[in-house]
Amino acid sequence: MPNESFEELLKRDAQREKDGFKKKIRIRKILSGPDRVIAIPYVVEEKLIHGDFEPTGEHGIDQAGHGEGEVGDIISEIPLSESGEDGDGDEEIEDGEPEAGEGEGEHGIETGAYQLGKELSEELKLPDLKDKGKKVPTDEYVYDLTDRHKGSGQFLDKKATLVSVVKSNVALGRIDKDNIDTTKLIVGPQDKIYRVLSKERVWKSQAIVFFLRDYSGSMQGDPTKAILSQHLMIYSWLLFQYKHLVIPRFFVHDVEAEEVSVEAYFTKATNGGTFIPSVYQEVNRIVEKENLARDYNIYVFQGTDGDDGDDGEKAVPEIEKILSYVNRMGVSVLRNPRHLELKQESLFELYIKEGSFTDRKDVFRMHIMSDSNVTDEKNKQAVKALVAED
Amino acid sequence: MELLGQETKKIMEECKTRARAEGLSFEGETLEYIATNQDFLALMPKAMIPTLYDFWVDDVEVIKNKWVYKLYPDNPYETVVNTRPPLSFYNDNNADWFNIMIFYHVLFHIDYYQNNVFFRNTWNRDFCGEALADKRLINRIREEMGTEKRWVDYVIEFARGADNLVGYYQELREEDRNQTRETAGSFSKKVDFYFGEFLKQRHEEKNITLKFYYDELERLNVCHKQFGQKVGDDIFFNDTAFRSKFPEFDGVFKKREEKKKPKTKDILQYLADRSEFVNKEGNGWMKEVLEVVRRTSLFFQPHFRTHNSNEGWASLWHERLFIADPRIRSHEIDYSIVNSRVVVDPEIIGLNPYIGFKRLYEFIEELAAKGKLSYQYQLIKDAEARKHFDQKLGEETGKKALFEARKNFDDFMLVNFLSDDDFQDFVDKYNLFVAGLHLNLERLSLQVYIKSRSGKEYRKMLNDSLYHPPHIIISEDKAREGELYLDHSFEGRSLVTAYIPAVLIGLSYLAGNTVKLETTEFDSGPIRLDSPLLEAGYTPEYKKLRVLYTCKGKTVEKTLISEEEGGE
Repeated sequence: MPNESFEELLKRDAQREKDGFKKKIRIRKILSGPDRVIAIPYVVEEKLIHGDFEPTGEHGIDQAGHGEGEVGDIISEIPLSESGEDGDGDEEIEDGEPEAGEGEGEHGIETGAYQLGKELSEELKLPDLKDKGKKVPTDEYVYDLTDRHKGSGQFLDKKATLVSVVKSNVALGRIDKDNIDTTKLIVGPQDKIYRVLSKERVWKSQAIVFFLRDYSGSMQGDPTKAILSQHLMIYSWLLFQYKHLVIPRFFVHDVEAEEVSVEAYFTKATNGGTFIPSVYQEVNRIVEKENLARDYNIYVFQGTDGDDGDDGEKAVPEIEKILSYVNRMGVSVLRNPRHLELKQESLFELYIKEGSFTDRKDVFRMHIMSDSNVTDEKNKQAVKALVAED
Repeated sequence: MELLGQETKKIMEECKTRARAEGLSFEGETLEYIATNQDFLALMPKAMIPTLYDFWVDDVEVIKNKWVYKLYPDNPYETVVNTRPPLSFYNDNNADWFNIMIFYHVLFHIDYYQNNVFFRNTWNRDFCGEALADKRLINRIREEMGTEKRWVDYVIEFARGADNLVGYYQELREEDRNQTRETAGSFSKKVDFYFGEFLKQRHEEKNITLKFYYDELERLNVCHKQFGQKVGDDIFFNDTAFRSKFPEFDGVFKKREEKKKPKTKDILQYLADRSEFVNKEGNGWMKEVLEVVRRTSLFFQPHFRTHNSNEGWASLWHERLFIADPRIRSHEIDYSIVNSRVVVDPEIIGLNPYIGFKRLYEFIEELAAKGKLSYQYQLIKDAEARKHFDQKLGEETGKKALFEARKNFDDFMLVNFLSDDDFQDFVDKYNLFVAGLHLNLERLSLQVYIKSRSGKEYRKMLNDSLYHPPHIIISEDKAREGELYLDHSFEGRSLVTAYIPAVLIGLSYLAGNTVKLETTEFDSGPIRLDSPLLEAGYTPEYKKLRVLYTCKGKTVEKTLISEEEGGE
């Protein structure tokens, strides 16, 4: 058995900061199959060990294999969603443990993610959302035990039955209001009132959240991992805020934008250039075409490294359009640490500044961070900055 | 956790008898415990040594294990601890017939621990007992520290930052020297210095001839023979001709002895012996903690370097003995199912040490039995002739070679023992290949392809996968007054840079001074780790940088020493 409980260990970790050392306990949240997000604590013991990136490939990624075949033959194919490559939103799991990202379906992540959103809201003190739109009837229906039916049904509504029994007996003159004797009450078959299934139209205050990710060549590796991690947290938080009534839509772009499935969003990569306005245009086109602004609270969260083939000429008007209907647009910019040190602003940052979008804090937030040594904690701070209400 | 019941112990004892008949060798009794899955979860962070010193990071690991277990239950079969008497733990879910297989496996692990020379410094140690003493020592220090006891854990943490760099081979070398001295005797420091450094230097400066050197040796031998070693030394160095030829000798020797500091074998020993901060009054406990961490790490070092061979060895024997054991009857199919999960190649790619290294042993045994471990065979280049070469030396010769390989080889030596031609035969025999990975962006997949069937390439890949801590030495020449200067010899691999600051801050605390680390890193610009996956043989542009990390207190800075271009 451990000598210290988890609470004691967390206290010890908090004490580290007071003693001038960094916290060591990290929580790894992983999508682990349908409907589950599990959080596990872990500590990395730093040592001087081999292992960093080697461009020479001298001690490379080759593996041992066995079996028939000629040199050059392709013998197996591992889908990226299984291989753990290129960010599934989580950090990798150590040897011998289950692979992260296995088998999450398009909707399967929600239950666990809702819980994660709740934890994040509490942990980061994230703001409660203000509903922009009112609840609207939708074309959706649910079945609920809301209808009442006399004599037969699925579920006896005791309160309604009792009222009915009393009414009948009052009508029959069997109740003396000063001396009620329940043993003398007659219960007719029609007095029993049951609940039965009913088709109910759904009235919702609901949200659509657009996740936009730059998947061009320069985004490979750490920046993508960070973006995906942040977007997973944001999605979780919105699920919590809207009690599951969140429709996520995922877009990736290089010079062209494309709406993709959640699975593709968490795995897809390309090697192309970057043209950010392409994805803004796509979002605006969809919002307009599907008339989403009327019925939904709309959120747009974007991840980029700031590189763009546009100088703002195309992007600025598109952002203006987006800000006219969103509850919040939040952009996470993952920058090369060297450029950050040199205080070189990216093209994206420059035109955001020019458009004075950062002044419109009610609807627009931008968070800039280094793409190296990204930790869970830094991602949480980024999320907090993107959704803050202050 | 409880000791094995009498009935099961009886089964174990029978396994021992059968194993000993096959050549198994170990001393004394063994202790076996029945453990639950929960016991395994709690003990794994402590390498299954219940008496290991407590450290809070292990507690986090236990909690993590328990949480993960709820989702992914695991059922470890056994664990063995190399101590005296050897301990082993068996899962309470193991059936009796299954325990027979496990017992054989465990017994040959114990045989490996007690016979493989890389474990020679553990042969006479009751490590569990020592660990218990260390655990109590650290607990006592914690008690004495009272409310400040967390600092004990900081010191453990800082020490563990360098515990993978302990001087394992230096310890072995010293032990070997001591043993050689005991058996062959030794010369005085003065004689060592005279014939070692002093005369060597004068010969290099061409002040003396080789003949003079040999004459002096002869003169020493005569003195020793006539007067014994001690008095003989005095007479040798007080000889008038000697004193007039080298009047400076006594002075040089004295000066050199004064200057000579005892060599430290690694960073932890350096800190324990030389750090003014650790040796300051009131900080003596730090020295004790450093020694505990170092001692513990040294104990585990041979395990890291022999893990694959040890598993291969135990698997080879559990397979041979279990199949021949009459107690397997009626459980043949059960055994096949379990064994096929242990001793089987992973699906197409991946290396399973249980089978990979088992095959290496078997291959060596086969070569020896056919007389192929000979100079005569190695000269044959004709493939057909090699194939049909068989001197029929017999099973016993094969077995002798097998046990010699178990005795003398660690993982690296086992992999590199065979000649290139033999290793190619090994690769061909088992249809092995080096698998490459290619990132297919269109299909969003990693394609695995056969990259090479060359024995040399396969061996290189195996070598790359073996345990190899970085070579980092303490450079007293480069250090300024009082500072600790660590020099990393670049062997084609850079260090994990993200870990460097935390390690240096810890070492700087223990050194009570500036700590520097010179190492090599790559600056590859925006190219990412997966780029080599896109194109076989692709090498991005990069710069190779020699950098210096300087840690003062809690501030770590990096400066560039030199750089060179590389890549396309």
